[in-house]
Amino acid sequence: MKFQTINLLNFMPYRGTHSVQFPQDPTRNVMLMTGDNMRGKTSFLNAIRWCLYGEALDRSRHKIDNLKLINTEAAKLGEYEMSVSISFSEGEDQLEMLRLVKRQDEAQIPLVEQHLVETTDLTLNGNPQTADEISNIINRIMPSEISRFFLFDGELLQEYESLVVEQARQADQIKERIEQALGVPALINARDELKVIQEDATKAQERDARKDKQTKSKASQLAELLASQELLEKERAGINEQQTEMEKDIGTLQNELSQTEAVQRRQHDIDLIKTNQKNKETALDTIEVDIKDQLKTLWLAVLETRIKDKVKAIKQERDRIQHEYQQFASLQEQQSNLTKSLESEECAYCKQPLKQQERQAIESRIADIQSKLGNESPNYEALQKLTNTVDLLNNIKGQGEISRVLNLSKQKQGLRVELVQLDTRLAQLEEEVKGFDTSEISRKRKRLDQTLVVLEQSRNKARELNEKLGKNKEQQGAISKVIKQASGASSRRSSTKVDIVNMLAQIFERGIDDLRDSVRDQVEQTASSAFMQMTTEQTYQGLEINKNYGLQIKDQHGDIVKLRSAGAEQIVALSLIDGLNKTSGRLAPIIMDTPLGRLDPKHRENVLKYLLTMAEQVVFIVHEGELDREAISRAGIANRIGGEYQIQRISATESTLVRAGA
Amino acid sequence: MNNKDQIDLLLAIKNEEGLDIPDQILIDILSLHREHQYEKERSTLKQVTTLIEDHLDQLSIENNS
Repeated sequence: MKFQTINLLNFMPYRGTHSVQFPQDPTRNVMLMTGDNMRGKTSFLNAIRWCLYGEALDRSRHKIDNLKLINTEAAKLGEYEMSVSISFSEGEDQLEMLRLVKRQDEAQIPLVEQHLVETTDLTLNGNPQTADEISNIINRIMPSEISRFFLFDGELLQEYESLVVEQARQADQIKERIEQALGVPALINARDELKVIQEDATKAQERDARKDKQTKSKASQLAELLASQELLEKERAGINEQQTEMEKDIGTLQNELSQTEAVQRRQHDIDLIKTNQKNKETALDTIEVDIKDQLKTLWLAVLETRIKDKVKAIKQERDRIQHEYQQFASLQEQQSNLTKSLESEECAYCKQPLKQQERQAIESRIADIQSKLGNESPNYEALQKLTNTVDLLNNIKGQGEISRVLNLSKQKQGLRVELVQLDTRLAQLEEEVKGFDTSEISRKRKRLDQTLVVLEQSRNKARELNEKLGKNKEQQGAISKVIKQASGASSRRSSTKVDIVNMLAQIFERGIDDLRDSVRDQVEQTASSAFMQMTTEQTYQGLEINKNYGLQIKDQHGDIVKLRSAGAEQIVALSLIDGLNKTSGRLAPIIMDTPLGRLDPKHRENVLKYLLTMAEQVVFIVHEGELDREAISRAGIANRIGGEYQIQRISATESTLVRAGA
Repeated sequence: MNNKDQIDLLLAIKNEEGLDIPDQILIDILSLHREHQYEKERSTLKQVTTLIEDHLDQLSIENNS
């Protein structure tokens, strides 16, 4: 597939007619389309998607109504005609596709989708095709499921990151789309049809077996199994229907909730602030009670200062008397020992007999002590009294209380400031969520959680039913064999048919698993090779694929790199796109909107060089900050650019496409 | 994965499982479904049934001759 020209009329910001020629020279196969944000880069990608598949997608990947696609300025002037046509080649064939929307009734202003009528025209080598054939032809050339790997929005690349989380619901949907792109549906559809034929063949065999005496009883058993199968399948179909409804509901709720994520985050902050406020108010109450308690004994602090000198004097007097008392007791003890020595005529300490000279010395010492002791003994009662007084006065302490009260007051002040700050933040947040029904958002969140639980229960029930059906089929197979062996001429053909269809179903059933493994290996190899050419970290070993086609980086030891930067995620996603692109075996132009947004200059250079090898025609839709002249020249792709357009602003709702150098 | 790769894959399974069924019927069913796999309105069931019936007719002729 190779694009030649695209013509737009009143499509999104492109009012009036606009035409873009795609480069045709294989050596200058890159087209550059630059534009600032909100000028219409994604709209250009959507124009291609809408023309080929009839759907333009918003950032949440939801279809945008035709009414919203018509240029606002044109609509204001009553011009409700919008169209996109693309001429392209596929191999030797030349095709031209046109999608046109206009109002149903020229006299009426379209208010709802039904007021518009959409038509498509496709010519193949100049021959107009019927409406029924158009979708089939386009899908044969480039199935819409595969187109996402060719017409892609770089800002949505992160959706592939969910593939790494094996349980993610979004991952299931993307996995299904990937498998559709890789040709798995051919086998799945064949297996499903063979199951239908298998059931019909078994019923025919049962009917034939009834006619034969030898196989009549087996036919009855088979009939019972077929009846039971029908009931189980009916139940499973009901469950599948419920699951589809639930999945749809979950998708809608998740989408609605994702659109109110900012509001939800603010509501969450509001709840946190309110809890925080309550805690702080409780802490404030506790502090106020504490302060009141402390104030009850705060008078002691005043008294403590006033009696401080008095206490000091009393303590000094007490210490003096105590010292006197200790000295008196020591002299008394000495006198007693010396008197004992005189009486026993030996030393009271060393027990040696006393000499005359020593006796005289002792008598003199005793006389000295007696003179020191005097007639009055120290006043023990006064000492006791002073000690008691000091003990009592020591209990009067208030300085600690003051510092505690001061501390509590500081805390109280701090809490009040914090409460004012919380009040201000709360008011801001409440202003931001004003107009949003936050209780409705909470109800939706609750409903989503409940639906997810019920869906899981339903899936368990479906698994049980599948097991029962599997056993039923096994039993049918065994009975069919017996019937075949014992069958007469009447049931020979139906038995052989059952046999053949069983074999075919068995091959396709296993083929689905083997094909999945095989395409996964292929995607892993090609994506790994792309990754190694794009990453600047050359010590990495490559990428490892999981069941969902999620890719993880292997470091130099072969271990999985757990944390990846936004840039690394983008490189991995681009590698996956390349892996899927190559595994799908399709050749088509690659048109990328904002593919380099999260990359540093070196990675941009590597990615640019690599993207050129991904397809025969490459269109980069970028803003100038993403891809400037310097980056183009560094990547050495300047001489590969075969066409360049600028998306220029005319007004907030109108843009124009200008060919560079024109 | 192209048509030939998928055919090889199915034939390998057939041989591994030792199933007695002609290669051509597998090839025909797969090719039919590959051709129509992205079509929303398929009419392949009737065509697969015809392929199986034709094979049964062939077997019947072989057995009678």
